[in-house]
Amino acid sequence: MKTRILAMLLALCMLVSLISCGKSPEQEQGPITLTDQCGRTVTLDEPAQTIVSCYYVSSYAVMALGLSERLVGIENKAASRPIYGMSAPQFLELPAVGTMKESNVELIASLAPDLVIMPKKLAESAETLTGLGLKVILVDPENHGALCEMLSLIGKACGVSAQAEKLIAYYDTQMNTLETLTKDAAKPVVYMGGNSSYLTTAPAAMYQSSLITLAGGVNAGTALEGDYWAEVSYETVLSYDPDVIVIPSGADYTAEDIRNDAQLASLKAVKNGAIYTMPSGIEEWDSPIPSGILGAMWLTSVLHPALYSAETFAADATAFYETFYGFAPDGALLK
Amino acid sequence: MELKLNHVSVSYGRRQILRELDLTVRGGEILAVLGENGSGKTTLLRAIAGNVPLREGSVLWDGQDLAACGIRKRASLVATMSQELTAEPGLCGMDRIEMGFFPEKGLFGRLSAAEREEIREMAHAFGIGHLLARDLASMSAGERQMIFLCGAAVRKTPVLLLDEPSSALDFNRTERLFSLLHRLAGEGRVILTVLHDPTLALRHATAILPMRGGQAERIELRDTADERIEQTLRTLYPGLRIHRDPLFCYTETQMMK
Amino acid sequence: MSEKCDRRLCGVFAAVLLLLAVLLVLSVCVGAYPLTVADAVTALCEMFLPRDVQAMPTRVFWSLRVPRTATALLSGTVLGLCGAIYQLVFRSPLASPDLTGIASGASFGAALAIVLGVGSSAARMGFAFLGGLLSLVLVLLLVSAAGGERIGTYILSGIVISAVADAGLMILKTLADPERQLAAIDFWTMGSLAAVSAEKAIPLFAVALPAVILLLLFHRPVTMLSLGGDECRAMGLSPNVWRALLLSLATLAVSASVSVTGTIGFVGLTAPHIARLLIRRRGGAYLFLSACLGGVILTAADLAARTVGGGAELPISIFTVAAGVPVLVVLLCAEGRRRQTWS
Repeated sequence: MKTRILAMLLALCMLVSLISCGKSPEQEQGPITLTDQCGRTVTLDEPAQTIVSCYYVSSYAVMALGLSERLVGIENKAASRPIYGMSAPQFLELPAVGTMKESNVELIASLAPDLVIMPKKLAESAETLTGLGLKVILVDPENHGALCEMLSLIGKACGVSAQAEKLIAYYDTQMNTLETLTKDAAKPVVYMGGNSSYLTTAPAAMYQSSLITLAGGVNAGTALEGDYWAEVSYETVLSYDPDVIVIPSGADYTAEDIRNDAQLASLKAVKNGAIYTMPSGIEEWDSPIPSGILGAMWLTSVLHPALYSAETFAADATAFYETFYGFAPDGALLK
Repeated sequence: MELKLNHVSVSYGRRQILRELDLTVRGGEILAVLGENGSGKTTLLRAIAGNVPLREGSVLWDGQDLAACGIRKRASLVATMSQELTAEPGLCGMDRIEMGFFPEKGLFGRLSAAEREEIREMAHAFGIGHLLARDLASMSAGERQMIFLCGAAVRKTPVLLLDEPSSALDFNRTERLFSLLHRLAGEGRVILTVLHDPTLALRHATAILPMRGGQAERIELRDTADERIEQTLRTLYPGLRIHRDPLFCYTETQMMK
Repeated sequence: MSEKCDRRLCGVFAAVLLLLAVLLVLSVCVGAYPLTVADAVTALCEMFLPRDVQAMPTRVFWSLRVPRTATALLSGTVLGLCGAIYQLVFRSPLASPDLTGIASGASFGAALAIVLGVGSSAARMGFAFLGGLLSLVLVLLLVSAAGGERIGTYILSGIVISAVADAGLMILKTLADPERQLAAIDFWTMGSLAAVSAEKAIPLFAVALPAVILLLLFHRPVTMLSLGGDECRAMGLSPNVWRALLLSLATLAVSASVSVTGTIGFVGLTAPHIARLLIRRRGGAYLFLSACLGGVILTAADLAARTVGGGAELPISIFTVAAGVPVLVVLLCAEGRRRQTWS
């Protein structure tokens, strides 16, 4: 009883904080100096009014910060991201400026943007563009902290720092809420598979591991070394014997594949039917993207349904998208 | 000015082709190298040209060891008439002759107008003037040999080596070939030519070198008696006879026909 | 025939050089950024102004278009010239710089850089360059160990080293992480001029241009080697020394080119054959023509690679084949008909 009241109060808090975030972005004036996430110093004379985003995470950030109107160029294959169609359909008509391997420098130059946002991988193209006189910031949102930094950077460059701060504040609030909620609860062992195979899992250093911890679980692969998906053998998985198996949003396999795998039949999670697939109909909640907090919230609703139910999550997620992205998602996509 | 071979031995693997050959040829002489197939005639020429390593001995020109000269100097002293029986397209007669001048001209030197004129004259004298502009691949083997000979002649190398030059030539051209050789010899050149026809050898050479078993001793033609020559040649060509006037060689079996 | 020969030669050269000039102008003016001929002229005038004063079209012209066009021209020239040289030196119409394993070695070097996670593309270029050179060094060592002077020895050694490099590449691919590194390796081996900048083009020119000039100056030894080792020696040229020297210069140039553009196929094979069918002569003119044709093919292919895809960059090797093969087929048929009238 006590917990339920606490949960409702906290949900109310979240709602209030969301409402206060939902104002339109304010403008700031004057020359702006930034240091991007690769240590480069970039100076803009005034907040950027036209933006080119070279990969999907920064495009998501542009949406979340309410800057959708300013985007003039977007990464290739925009049609494969469902959220563009939902929140900013005009993105699908924008010129495609390149992929993670190669960017079309001339096309970007011809769009004459005030700001170009590129991932660290495209550092070379960034240099070329800088050489042409364009302003480029390099971002590297590898984890939650870096994600917040990226949002601040973009916010500052476009004169919407206040909006960035509100978004980050929302994250902080949620994270505190979730932590408090699950503090005393029993933490199940969670095994999160990789994208290409369920015989890979995340070591402690990866973002996905911190996601699990935040949601009140224990990452099965905590002891593993490295900062990229680690391959594990069947024996290792059997030795973990996780309580819950989570399939990421970009996986090449399904829960059915795991259930049909005879070698995993003895796992607790398989026997209890505790295999869950991260919803992928809107965005990839299991990577450090602006709506990544929803991944943690979803996982909490999965691991601790009594403390944070699926319905509550659906309501919170809908509120989040309405506030920051300006649309109401289809309920079916939130499961 | 003389070409001297001292104790020259050449082997291909374990087979010894030339055995401690000693030879001296002076400027102005035409030496005809005779022998059966495999007796080492071609190897002898290759040894002088420097195309095979010597197992022992040395080849000297004017007292100078040719092996110590370096490839280019050697090529400017010794001209070898190529035995190429086929050729890839892409070079015309004049180009090929010009290439032969590499030892003298080097990487960038060009033929002077006078040299070109001389080549043209020589070619016309041989009746192959029209071949200078024609692609080598479209010539017959004999025509190719004439081109090479022109080039070698104009280059004025002191030593000229020819390997069966008349094999691909018709009768007229053979006569012209030897008249040219006489002229070149008259200029003081050393000429060694492998021949398969002993009649030609007797008619045109100053001396002959019958090769047998990797060894040879030269026989002067002018001062030696016919019987002696016949006898020496018979070891190479059994049953050989020589007829003096007109000069030809024959075997008994041939005459009996 | 000599007169007719010279006139035909001049005609062929005039046509090829004209084509090249047109392609160069097109290449400089065409691209995702709208540049008119007027912009190009302005850019030429503004050449020496400081960067901040130059207009954007001028900056795009000098930072992107000119380096890319120049690289396409030089790479094509290198591939065409070295292809011709390899075919003459090895006396085989099938020879190309791949014969001594340059492409395999350079790919191995680049893949090594990618798998080791050596970040910058300058490092990748360096590794690829060294990989190409290393393969030639190994071939020459193998040839001298085999005591060989014969062409067959070179070809066999080249096959051995290529195979070793290819196997190494396969090992690297299995070690590579499939989502990031493997894609990068495959992308590199497809070849592309999209990422060319002035910074990359300068070392390429510094290394490849002198090599090309030297190789053209040495056309006489090249032609002599095409007659065989014995003939060379008879003409006063040391075949071993010159073969090693010419192959080293060619490898230097091709490695430099491949390290910047990745492996681009087919140019080194088609350009010499087209040149041969056009002028049927060996020698300096043939080498120069083959070089020019290589430049034409690659510049045309690069032009197509960035315009045909409607903004996206397509792999350039598709277009080197598309540019070279039809010409080759037409010339072959014409040659066939010419031969038939003789017999």
